[in-house]
Amino acid sequence: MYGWTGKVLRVDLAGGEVDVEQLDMKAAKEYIGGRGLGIYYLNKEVNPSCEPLSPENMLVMAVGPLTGTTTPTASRYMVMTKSPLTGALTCSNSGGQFPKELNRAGFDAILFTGRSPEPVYLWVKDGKAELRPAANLWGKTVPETTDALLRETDPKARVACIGPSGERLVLFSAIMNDKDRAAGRAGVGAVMGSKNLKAVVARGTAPVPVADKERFDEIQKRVMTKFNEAAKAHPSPLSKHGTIGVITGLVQKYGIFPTKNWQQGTFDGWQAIHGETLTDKYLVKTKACWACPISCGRVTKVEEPEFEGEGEGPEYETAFALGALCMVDDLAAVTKANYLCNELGLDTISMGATIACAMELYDRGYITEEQVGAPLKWGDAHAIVDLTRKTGWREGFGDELAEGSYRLAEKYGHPELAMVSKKLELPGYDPRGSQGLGLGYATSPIGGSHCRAHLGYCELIGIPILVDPHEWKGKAKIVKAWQDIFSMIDSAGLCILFSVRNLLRPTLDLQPDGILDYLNAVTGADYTMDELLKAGERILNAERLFLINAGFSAKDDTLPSRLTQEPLPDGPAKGKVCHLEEMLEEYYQERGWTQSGIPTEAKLKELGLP
Amino acid sequence: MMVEVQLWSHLAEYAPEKQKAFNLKLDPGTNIGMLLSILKIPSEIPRIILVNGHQAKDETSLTDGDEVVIFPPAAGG
Repeated sequence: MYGWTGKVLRVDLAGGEVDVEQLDMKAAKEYIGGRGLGIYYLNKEVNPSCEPLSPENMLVMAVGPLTGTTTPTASRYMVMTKSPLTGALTCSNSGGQFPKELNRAGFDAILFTGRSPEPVYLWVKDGKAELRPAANLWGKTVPETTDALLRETDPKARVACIGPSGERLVLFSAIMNDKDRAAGRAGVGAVMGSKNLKAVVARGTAPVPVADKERFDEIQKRVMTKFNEAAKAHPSPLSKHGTIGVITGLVQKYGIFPTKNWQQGTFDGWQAIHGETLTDKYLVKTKACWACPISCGRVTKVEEPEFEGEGEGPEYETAFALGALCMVDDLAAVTKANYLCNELGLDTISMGATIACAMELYDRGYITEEQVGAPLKWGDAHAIVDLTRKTGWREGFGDELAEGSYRLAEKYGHPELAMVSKKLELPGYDPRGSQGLGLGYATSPIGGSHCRAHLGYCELIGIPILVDPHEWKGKAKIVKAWQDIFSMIDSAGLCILFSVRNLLRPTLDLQPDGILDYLNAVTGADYTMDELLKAGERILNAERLFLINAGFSAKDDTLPSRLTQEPLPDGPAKGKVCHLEEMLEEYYQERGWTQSGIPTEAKLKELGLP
Repeated sequence: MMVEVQLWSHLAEYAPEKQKAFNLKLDPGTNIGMLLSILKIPSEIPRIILVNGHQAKDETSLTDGDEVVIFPPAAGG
């Protein structure tokens, strides 16, 4: 067996049993791994109508066949489940070192079912697994839990765990691995908490076997020579200043930097929360995930007494959500709130966006100082730190924020102020000035995400080719291509940041030559380009089927009315709205779906889906 | 006429004093292609150009007070 381990670990938390099953190799080839395997098992075994926090829901952790090899950025794993925040599917991706360890420990996927009567953790080492008691860890933060488990198991092991937020079922709680990496989105941590599963600890000592080592080395040499030559001529801005350094200025200049809960497209304080400011003031060193030549991670330290701390971050999305969206231009406070999110196990995007929503509710007089427990003004640096802590522990007003922005805004009679798609808080690019991004948010299988298709690549920075961000016609075809490519990258176990620049043909149809080469060398599965492209499309359609069966349809492929009806009031995109309705019509046609957003029988047959 | 030029990341090496942002006095009628020649930025160097937040091409004309941002393609999230 090459790339794939051929083994799946089934963990029955109710009965305290672990079983090793053989992976269906036909499914492995058709769904690749990672995200693909996740939806394969969810569709096969989970009732899409189930209550997400009930024992009926399943939590899948899956690696790709490339994860843990030395393929550049083959560091990723995927967590998939039905989301308690959205009621839709969620798949949340993370890098670091844990995923490599999981694949080397001998499993392509772990399927968690049921609910344990007592807190437990799973210890996986070299093909063997056992559930162990974790009552002593309940209530501990992510760093405390991680350190305790490394002492208890193996100092060379890697830990993925929840913090107090996951235990308290905060609806946007994360699963943290290697302390500071997050499978962050849509409440995967709460599902883990609902199962009384505190952590997964993995250790694998055998390298992932590669089918054709000679071919692999040849591809590796070609890809890395090109990458290294470019990096030698011009060090990557991502390496130098992180995602926060690359994106912040860009979105500000395009006028699509979501500010004041998306009431503005530019932020006067943008330079204060820029990556170069982070480098100058707080950067200790950069940090890379497994097999990554980019090293975009930021190890930072804040010495200002009121926001003192150390850890990792912030990334761009954190600076957008806890910074511009709340009009906070204090990078020390944003960084401190980021540390708290990591320690308590929270998604930084949803955290910042929910605080921003509360700030607007307060500003418009829909909630009062009495309800919040303190004044809640735009730009209040102390408030973002204080409310992050309270949300993580579900204390005071934090208990209301813990439900996410949609439920908060709905409770106070103004759901239109929740800037979400399918109840998932949107990432930091305003689609009024980057049309295709809006279609990507609205049709993402998990709701408002930039990680299921990112039109910013071609609309903002010309990867692979620059297109007009203000044009909506023709974007549906490009969104479809990106969605299918992203599902392929996520399923193979690669990171988007490297793959889009180094493993795709530089044409708008995004032929994944590099991914095909690596997959075939590692697995020996002899994928044709057509089979690989079909696999990407199959995964997206399989996810759509889960959504349809959970009651979703075209009526849920939406954006907040602010983005489709309220023109941006400022900046280069002033006067623009997002033309979602027009793009959706084209999108369903491109997909071979009905105008109700349902895959046609012909399309399902073409992809071999039931 | 005077324009503000911002050269981000490694493109700053083409600035007169390697600075990231500077003002430049240009003859009326200067376009982006002419500006790139003045700055000696070779045509094969990958870059995106924004004039006042809008994507620009070589033939885009400049006017007094414009902000020109030139940056290399790179991304993350």
